[in-house]
Amino acid sequence: MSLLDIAELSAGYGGNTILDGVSLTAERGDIVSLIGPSGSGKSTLLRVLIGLTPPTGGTVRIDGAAVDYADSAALKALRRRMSIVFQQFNLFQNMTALDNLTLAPVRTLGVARAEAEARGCDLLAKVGLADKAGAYPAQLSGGQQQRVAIARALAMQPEILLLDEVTSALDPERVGEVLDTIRTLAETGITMLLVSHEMGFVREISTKVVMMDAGRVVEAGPPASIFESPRETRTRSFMQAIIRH
Amino acid sequence: MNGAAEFFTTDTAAFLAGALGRTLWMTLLGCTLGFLLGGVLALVRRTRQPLLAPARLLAGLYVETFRRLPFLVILILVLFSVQAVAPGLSLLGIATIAVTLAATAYLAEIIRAGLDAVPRPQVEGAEVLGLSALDRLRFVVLPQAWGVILPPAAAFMVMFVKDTALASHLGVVELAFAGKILVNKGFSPTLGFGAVLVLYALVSWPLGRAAAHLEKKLVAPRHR
Amino acid sequence: MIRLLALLWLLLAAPLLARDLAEIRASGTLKVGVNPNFPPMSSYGPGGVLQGFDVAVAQELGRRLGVKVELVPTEAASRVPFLVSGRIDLSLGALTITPERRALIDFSVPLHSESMGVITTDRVSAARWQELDRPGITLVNMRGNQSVSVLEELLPRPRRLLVDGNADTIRAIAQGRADALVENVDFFIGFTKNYPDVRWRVLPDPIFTAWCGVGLAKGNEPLRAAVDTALIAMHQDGTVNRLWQAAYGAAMTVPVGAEQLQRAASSGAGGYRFDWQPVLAALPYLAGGALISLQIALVAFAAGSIIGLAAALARLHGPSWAARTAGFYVGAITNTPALVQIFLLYYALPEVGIMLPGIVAVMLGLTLNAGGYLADILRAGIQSVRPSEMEAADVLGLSRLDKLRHVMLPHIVATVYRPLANFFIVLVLGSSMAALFGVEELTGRAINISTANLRTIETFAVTGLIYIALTLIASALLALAGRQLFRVRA
Repeated sequence: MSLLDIAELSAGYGGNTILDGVSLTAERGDIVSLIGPSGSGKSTLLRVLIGLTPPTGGTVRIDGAAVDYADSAALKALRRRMSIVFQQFNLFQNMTALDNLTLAPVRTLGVARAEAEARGCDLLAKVGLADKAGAYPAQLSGGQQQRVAIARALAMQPEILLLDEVTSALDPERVGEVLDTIRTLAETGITMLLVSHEMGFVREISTKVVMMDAGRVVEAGPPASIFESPRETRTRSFMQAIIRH
Repeated sequence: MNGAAEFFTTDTAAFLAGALGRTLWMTLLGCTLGFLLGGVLALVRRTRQPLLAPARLLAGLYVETFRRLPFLVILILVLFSVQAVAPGLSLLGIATIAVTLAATAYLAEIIRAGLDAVPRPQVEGAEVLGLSALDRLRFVVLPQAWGVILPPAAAFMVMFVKDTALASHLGVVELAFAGKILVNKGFSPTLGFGAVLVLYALVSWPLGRAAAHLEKKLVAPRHR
Repeated sequence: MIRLLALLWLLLAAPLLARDLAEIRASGTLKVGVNPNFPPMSSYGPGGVLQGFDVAVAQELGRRLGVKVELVPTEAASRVPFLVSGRIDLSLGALTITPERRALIDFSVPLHSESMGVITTDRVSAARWQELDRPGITLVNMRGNQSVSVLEELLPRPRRLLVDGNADTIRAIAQGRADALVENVDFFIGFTKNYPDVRWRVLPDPIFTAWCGVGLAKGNEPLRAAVDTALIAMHQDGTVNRLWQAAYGAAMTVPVGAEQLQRAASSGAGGYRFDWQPVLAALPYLAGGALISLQIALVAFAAGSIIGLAAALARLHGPSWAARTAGFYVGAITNTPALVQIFLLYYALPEVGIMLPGIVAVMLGLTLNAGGYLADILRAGIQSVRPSEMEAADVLGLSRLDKLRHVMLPHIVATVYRPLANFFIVLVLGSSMAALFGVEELTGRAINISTANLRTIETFAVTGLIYIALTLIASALLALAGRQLFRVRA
């Protein structure tokens, strides 16, 4: 049984279909990368998975159990196992880095404040920001904010971590520090679904690459086969367009 | 006709001070209650549950209605309908209810704008961490909306100090009516109403400055 | 919800509201409505204590009924509604006994007479009251007074000016706003002392005599019997005449005789029932008032915009004296109530010989007021023009007119359109203040008809709906104009 099993998942607003029957699976420890042109539905897929955008059809199973996205209790349970890091960090502007990390564990997991803070400090140290616990988001660089955001997601001790273009909003020289953080994270064995345009990084870190276009999965497979011998013409044209730049 | 010498007496001063007190009391109590009720309306209008749709509609209807009625008409309607429920209530109490009803509608809009000013991603960030709606409001939305809500709310309250002058029509001896009573006693209208005008300015001007100062302080730096 | 239901129930079943004699005795206090601005009937004396004939009568009634008296300040137009709702147990304040009022409230036996005569000045050439029936004359009267409708029949030709207080009537004549007051001379003559320079005249023959009684809520028979008994005794032992003499310095012009003291038959239970017919019948009259409200708002908005623009330019680009003057103007206007500003224009300017009719004072006041607020809005608009774009326009060699049209105005309009549209709505609502100066716009007309039909809640509910409709239409038109003409969202 796969840890995450997505079957025929659809979503959209009004008459607009954004996800059009997406199916894919991820095993425990998998690092699945979603690639494809803008508007192909990669980010929407992550938003549907975490329950920010309601699905219009299909099922999502975790350890074989279907998730009921219309049920708030089920959503709450889902978000204890799955966490997301956004492109724009979405750190709480009114809180210090440490408070950003401790708020949810204390309020939703019922962790004691002292314990949450100790764990928060550990996590900040892991992302290389031990000295920034008392800093407000606006006092941090984009790369530092994104690393705090990753630490915040990890504070919930998720089994599955979703990463939505986490380096797209960063200055070029800040991208490396965030990618390093993710590499370190990958070694811990956590399951990840990530949307990224850093193709070199995708190829290096992924156990599985999924090519999407127009809300559908074009093809999926190990990075070597997708990057070197894609079966579909759409994947080939996408690869060529990227390499040319 | 009474002259200026009789005007500047402790009697007149005490009379005007009492009237000023009632003006401030109506504004302060009415706007404070209006802020609380307006906050409730703003929160109701933000909900998205299908079950609460009628409540959202009523809240929206309330805000639209009371922002389109002259305060004078609200005062008269409140006078004649509230006293049917509580005939013992003083005119000052009735005027305060009218202030509350009007302030609720205007402050609900100010609070709604403040809550809407908190970027949606901030709320989503809290949502995906599994925080309850109440926790999202308490820890993420309100602390950030506060700086946007408070300055216009304070400015509204300062503005309403002046609007309460219409309560004179009910017979509440607030500042404007006090001026009229003095003039009816035979003091010159220039003196009577002039004194009242100066008193309003003496209250409103520093309060307005304080509200403007608050705006500078809260809006400029977002972080301590 | 429960409160709402309770409110509805009480509105529909008002007879329950008035307290009966047993309840009054149990509470130990009798609530008596007296007019706070009606010397020598009742007014605030030294130390803010109410005094006068009515006050003395109220105390005497309380003493004879064995209860304490709580005086409730009650304006003339509020007397009947306050009785109906039970806010007061008894109403004094020269409440004339009329069939219209009998439909809503009960009366005691008469307390005093009301002899209608004419107060005027030597400006008016009339020896008898009949000579006042000509178009050039303006008669002043008080809203809610019984004499208003009587005069429409007896003296149909003169123009009418309706004001809110007793003192206002005499002031209106002294200032030349009106020529004569046809009312109970006894009640009003006292105010003429405030204007010793005016040559006051009272025309000799009374027009008619009416009787004023103590008002009570309908169907409150034991209370009415007790008040009647007390009043008859007070007439017979001379108390009423003694108190009248003390307050007026003269005997009542027409004394209350034995035949007036026959007790009236019980009128049975009545109470408040909603009746929308009177206000619906007056809808065209109210709609006409709405047009006047709109006119006032439009004038104040247009003229205020010119003043506001001048003040904004003076503050931003004028010499320092002009900037300071404009700053003082804006500060003075925006820190004081429009109502008191209009009070000054209406009541104080006549002291220096400038007499503005009510509608002019209101329009001028609202214009000056709007000028102050519009100055702030327009200043923000002018400041929204970006210096960088002006520099770009300079570099491109655009003419002054082109710069104004293509670079400055789009920014200014985009910044100010919405605040201006909102402010117009504020002015439409604010024009209701005109009612307090005798202008018959929407609120003024609503007050007029509600004091005549005594259907205040119905009248003002409908009036409120008209205001909502008026401002909704105005908002929609302004939004449409903004999109079509200026491509801004409003």
